[in-house]
Amino acid sequence: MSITEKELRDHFTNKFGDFSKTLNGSQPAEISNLRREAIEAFAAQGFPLAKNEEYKYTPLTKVLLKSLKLDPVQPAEAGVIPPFNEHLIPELDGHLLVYWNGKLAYRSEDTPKGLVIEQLDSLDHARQREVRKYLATLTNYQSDAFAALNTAFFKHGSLVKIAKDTTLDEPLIIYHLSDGQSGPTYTQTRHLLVAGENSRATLVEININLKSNQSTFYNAVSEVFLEEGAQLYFHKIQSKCSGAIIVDNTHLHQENNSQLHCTTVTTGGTIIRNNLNITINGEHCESHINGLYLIKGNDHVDNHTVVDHRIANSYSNELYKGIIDDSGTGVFNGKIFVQPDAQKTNAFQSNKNLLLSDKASMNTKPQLEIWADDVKCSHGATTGQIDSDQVFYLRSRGLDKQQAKGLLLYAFATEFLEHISLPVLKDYLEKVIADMLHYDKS
Amino acid sequence: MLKVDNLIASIGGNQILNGVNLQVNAGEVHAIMGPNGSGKSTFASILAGRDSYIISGKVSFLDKNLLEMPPEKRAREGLFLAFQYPVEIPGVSTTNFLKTAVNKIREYRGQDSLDAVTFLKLIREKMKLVEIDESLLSRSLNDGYSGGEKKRNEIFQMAILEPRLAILDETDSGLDIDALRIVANGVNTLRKKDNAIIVVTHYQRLLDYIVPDFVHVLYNGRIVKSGTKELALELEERGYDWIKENENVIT
Ligand SMILES: Nc1ncnc2c1ncn2[C@@H]1O[C@H](COP(=O)(O)OP(=O)(O)OP(=O)(O)O)[C@@H](O)[C@H]1O
Ligand SMILES: [Mg+2]
Repeated sequence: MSITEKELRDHFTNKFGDFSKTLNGSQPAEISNLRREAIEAFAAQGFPLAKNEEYKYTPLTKVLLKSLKLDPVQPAEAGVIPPFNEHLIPELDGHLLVYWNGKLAYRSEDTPKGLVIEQLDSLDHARQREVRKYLATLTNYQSDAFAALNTAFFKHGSLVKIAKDTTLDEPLIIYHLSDGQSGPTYTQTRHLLVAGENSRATLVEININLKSNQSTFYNAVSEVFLEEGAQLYFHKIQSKCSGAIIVDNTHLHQENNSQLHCTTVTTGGTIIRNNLNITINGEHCESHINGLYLIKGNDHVDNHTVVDHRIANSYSNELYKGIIDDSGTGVFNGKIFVQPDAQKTNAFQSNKNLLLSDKASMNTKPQLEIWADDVKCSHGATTGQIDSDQVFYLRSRGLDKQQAKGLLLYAFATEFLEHISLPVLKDYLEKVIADMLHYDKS
Repeated sequence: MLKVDNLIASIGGNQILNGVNLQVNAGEVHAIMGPNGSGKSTFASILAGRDSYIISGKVSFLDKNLLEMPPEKRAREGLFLAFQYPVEIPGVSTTNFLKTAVNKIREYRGQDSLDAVTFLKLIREKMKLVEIDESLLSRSLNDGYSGGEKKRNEIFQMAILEPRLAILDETDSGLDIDALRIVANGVNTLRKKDNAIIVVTHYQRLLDYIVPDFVHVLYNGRIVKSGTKELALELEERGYDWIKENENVIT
């Protein structure tokens, strides 16, 4: 039986008092005030209902009410951590952080020079005050209930600093593993990353849901700062999220001459909502934003992106592609803002979808708001079926129908791979995509 | 090799082919000419297996019922169509799908599949034959190709797949003089006593290079006149009006 939104909301607001007590003494006023503001903002907004424009096509609250029974919905606990190596992507080497049900379970021993990683729950007061300069400055907990909930309750997560002029030879890889435990659980993960001036790095974030029949609600907020001249490859991989309920708020802030390649790959989940917000706050920045979602069964994947050009002379190029089968649902909402000061902006956005079944559906809404006059911008969205002329052409060369379709889908889906900086990850994704599309690569 | 018997085809309520009869024997080259819109491409793509038409009549290919085979089976039996307008396929390169194609056809014929090295050798050899650039073959298929490059790529594929019956739908259109000679060369190497070729063309010029045994005129969805290569010369000189007039008197 479902509970009501009011019940679920009260459940969380009532928990806040106890939660604050457990933190008592471990946090300075700057942080406890932030949490209080956040829980008030959450209590005032509540979980978004269908009439909320931002969640119109994504019934997150409905799913939460059905899946999270009030008692015993609780924060996930690490418990005894079983061996998890088998769940990691084979041969994907780098500096590893593994979170198990929201808590840090493993970290590689040797930290490369120029990389500093701290855990948010182990900072002293002075460090927390310093961190507050970044924390919750990009995410808008006043207008997003999930960001508010996370800001009120976050405890675990990484604070990552890549020092000025550092080039990280190995990627930083963060896994989030959830095992569903015995009942519905939630995690409120929080990350903060600062890529220092002229640093170069690759960050891979991988979500894995181990028990697809258990409800886990993963609510994350990440705030990422690219200082002047920083280069960041950021790969978000949601390739084993079957059964998961995910709300991911990722904010990226770019200063002068910084370069971002952000790629999000999703191959399904009960309901997944990715908010990717990019603020281009500098000149001569580049932002390459790519996404792929492959949706089957009754899964639902929603990508909301915002690219906010605030300063002149920068470039952004966004391409999201989706293939939706069975009764799957996809949502794409992409906003580009070009502010009055952002003259000579080049901003492009495109969303392309293929529907493979009559019951599959896609809601796409590209939006462009331009307040400057000397800019080059374009956006577009298409939703269609596999091109029958292309299928016929390949079949007339001897490929059977299944192979022809597989090849076409595979080609459609893998266009973004040029933005994946790690060959091992590229191979892994090629395989995941080929399997998912029943395409025999040999 | 190919026997077409009273082939009628319609699409969206329009009857495009009105009873085509044609027999092509092994070793022969047939040219099909005819005014724009007369049904030549429709005929060619129905032979290759396009399924958007409502069809009646009989077509046998190597003594098998062609019309009940899916397109891939026709290809594996040895039928090849060089398209008038080859489709663009972003993200798929010629070498990319051709290896699968070759091996599917070989498997069907009970031959071993080619390994990467042998396949590459084959590619290189045929590349020379049609003077096509390797870089073209690794680009997205037909995506941004010039008109001539598309046609050359079709002939390249034909050379790789070595069909029993090749149907070339206006492969000469858009080719410069040198390309025309090269393409014709490619076609002529396929000309063997066990194979047959159907060329659809508007121009007598191609037929100087690929000399046909028979020339047919398709008009209003029917073959209204057949003859030898002299017919092509006559058409070049006189146009189609005299044929249309005759035809309109008869119908
Ligand atoms: N899907 C369709 N629906 C309706 N009519 C069609 C369709 N496809 C083709 N036709 C019509 O069928 C007729 C024959 O077309 P076809 O392409 O076979 O001509 P063609 O002889 O190859 O002409 P060309 O010399 O210009 O290449 C044309 O009148 C064309 O408009
Ligand atoms: Mg034609």
